[in-house]
Amino acid sequence: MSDATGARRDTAWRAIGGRLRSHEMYLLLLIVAYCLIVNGINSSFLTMENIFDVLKSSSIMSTMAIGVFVVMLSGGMDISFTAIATVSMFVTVRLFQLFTGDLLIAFVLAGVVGMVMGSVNAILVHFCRLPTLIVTLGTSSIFHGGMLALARVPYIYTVPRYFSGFSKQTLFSWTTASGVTVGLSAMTVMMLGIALLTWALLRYSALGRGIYALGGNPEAAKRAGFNIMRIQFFVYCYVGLLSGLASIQYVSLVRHVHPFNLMDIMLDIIAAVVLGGTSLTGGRGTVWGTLLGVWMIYLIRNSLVLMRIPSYWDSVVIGLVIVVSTGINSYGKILSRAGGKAIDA
Amino acid sequence: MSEDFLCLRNISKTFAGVRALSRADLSVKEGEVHTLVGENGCGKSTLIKIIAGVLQPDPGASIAIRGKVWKRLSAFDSLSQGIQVIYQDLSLFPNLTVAENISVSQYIQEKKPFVSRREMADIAREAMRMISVSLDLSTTVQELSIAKQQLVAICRSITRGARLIIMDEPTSSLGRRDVEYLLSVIRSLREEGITTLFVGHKLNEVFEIADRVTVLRDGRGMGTYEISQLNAAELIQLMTGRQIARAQLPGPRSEGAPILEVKELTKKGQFQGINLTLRPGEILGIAGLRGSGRTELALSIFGMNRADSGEIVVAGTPRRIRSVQDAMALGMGYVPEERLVQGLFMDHSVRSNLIVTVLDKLLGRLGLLDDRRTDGFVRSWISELGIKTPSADCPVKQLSGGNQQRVVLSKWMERAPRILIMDGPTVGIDVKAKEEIHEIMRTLASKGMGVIMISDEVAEIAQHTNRLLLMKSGRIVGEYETSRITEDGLLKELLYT
Repeated sequence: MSDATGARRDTAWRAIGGRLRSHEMYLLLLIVAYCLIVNGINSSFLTMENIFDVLKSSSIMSTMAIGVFVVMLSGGMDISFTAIATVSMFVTVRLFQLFTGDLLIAFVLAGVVGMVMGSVNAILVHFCRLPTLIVTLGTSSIFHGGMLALARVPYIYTVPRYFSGFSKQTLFSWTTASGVTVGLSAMTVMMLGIALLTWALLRYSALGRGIYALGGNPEAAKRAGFNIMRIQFFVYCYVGLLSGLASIQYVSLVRHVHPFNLMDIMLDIIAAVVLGGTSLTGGRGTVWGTLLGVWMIYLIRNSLVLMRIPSYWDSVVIGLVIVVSTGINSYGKILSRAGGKAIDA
Repeated sequence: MSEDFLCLRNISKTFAGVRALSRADLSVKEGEVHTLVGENGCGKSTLIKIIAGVLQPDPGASIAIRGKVWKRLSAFDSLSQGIQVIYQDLSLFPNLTVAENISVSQYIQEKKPFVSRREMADIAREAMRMISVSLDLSTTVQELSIAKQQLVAICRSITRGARLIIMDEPTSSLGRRDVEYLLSVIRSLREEGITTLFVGHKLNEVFEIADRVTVLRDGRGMGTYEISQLNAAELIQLMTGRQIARAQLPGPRSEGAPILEVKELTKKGQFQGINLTLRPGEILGIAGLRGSGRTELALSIFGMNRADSGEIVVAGTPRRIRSVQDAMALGMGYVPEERLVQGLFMDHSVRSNLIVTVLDKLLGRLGLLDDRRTDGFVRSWISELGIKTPSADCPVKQLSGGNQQRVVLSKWMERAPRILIMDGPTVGIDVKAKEEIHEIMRTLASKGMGVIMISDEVAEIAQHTNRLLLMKSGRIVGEYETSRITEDGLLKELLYT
């Protein structure tokens, strides 16, 4: 009996050891190191206020990235999510100009609109057996182009007040010694809630395990009897839902609707998911890694300027971080495989 | 004795005019270890798929499981009757843990919305206990050796209350020690009362494990025997049968300077100390099973798999072959084993595939492809090799296996190589196409080309080569003049590991 517990403790320790050496751990160290460097040059960087602000304003990216992460985990790809977010945002705010509503209804509505568009992707991916990249490339154009064509004026500058109220809400706020009030933004809390929910779903639900299985070996998943259609629908609707929710977070932060701004963050988000350790071929990746990936990218985008580096260099640095960090990872794997299979005598 | 668990009668299956199975019978008794043997392409896999309900037999067949007759057996029916197939690819999830891979089927079957790691581990431990194996439950399957992955697959198959486990050539990628272990696992399955249908072609394993054996040859059942009633010679006779007498190639050539010499070629983990000589006009056979290092060796000679040490001498000059381009420049051609993935661009036209290796010869003035010359070229090859295609623009994937193989061949022949390596040239094509490929090989050799043919089909390699090297576990273990050996003798050498 004590032997068994001992063995179990042993495995538990090994699991923790494995986690410490994981990609996520390296990424966390990289973020810490980066923050220390920036702070060394500009000491106003590592303040409570700034940290909470980063958490808050990156949560739009994080929310979308979690959705994209789930798609990539299943072995697919979605590049239409920024278009989905833009359309959900426009449709929702436009309707709220005509009818009265409140924030909760706005989130629900944007989420539903996002899911509808996600299900279009799912139908094309599952029933037409089209490559996911091509499907979402196409639907991205259709959704976004359709909105531009149908809406005579795709800009909205007067957004109901309760939208912006959301971005100002904080939990556990306190005043620091220097007299600045800081607090955990409602946006951050919402994003963390989504992250936690997604983590639990992936880890404990049969559906979540199905997503991992599908990404790991689609043929085996089919043979094992997983309901592939249900998994595909869930995955694409989920990224649609999260894009819709993120779009309302975005409106609440910037207080206007612009048809192009959100479109620009698509590549940054995919880069963040990949940087977070999610395999492009599916089956491998974690929510935690995805969040770290987003924070890394967000920090580079928004803090190089604090070191007086011109913003043109943002993209170069992001590119370098992606190539180097994923490169080290895969080169390590090549080395460990180089032994080859031994001949059994 | 015990009742028949499974009884198949009069099973035929035709694919696009090709008869894969012809009125075969198979009956498996409850609790026994039954082996199904036969040479490559004899219809073993087709029969398994019919039992699994993945394929439906032609009309007239009868399938009974535990006495109940099934008019139409679907994959679901087969599973629900406790029939589990472990395919060669194992169908595991490389990214998931051992515990999860083993328990996944049971979870799906019970349609539980949530999973518990503890329960997964319990299911896995219970399955491992049944066949007395122990694996670390928390490692991911991709970190395991093939042998251990196989154990995971077996554990998974017994979680769903399997009554019959079918293993499709489970030992083909295993080393000897792992095979022993697998066989002991099958014995413990028998002790648990689970029936096993073991599909294979290695005779010593058959004699070691089987209670009874059913032989298939060219899609026909050659009967079922108690293993104690047979000896190896009789079993081989049943598997190969009498072959139609054909012109045997003459013995080895001694005239002519060697065009290819391989000296002490070694690559760790793949092959060791390989020596061979090829003379012009000679067809040299390399007989070896999958996993013997035969393909790795061929790839090394062709510059796609750099060896650790040793020497390759082409036409008297030692050469370093570092890439396919180097090999081609030295006059080598290679027709790969998996022609479908390695040798052809399946979605592209016959025309594109024919010209891809000779683009430089078809350039017109501005360095662009000369359409008229290309057309003439493509036409001449289609007629010379008798490629049956509706048009030159037809995608290669729409051609039959034999015609695809011809396209691959012609790609290399236009280069007029002095050395042609053919790896499993007739895998997956029908008898008539095979004959034609053999004919082409002989013609090429008679024109002075040196041909290396790699195969594990005994009949083919014994009849269509001048000289034969036997390869096992990465070494060449014997050299034979094919005019002096019998097929049965060769099969015995090949199969006894």
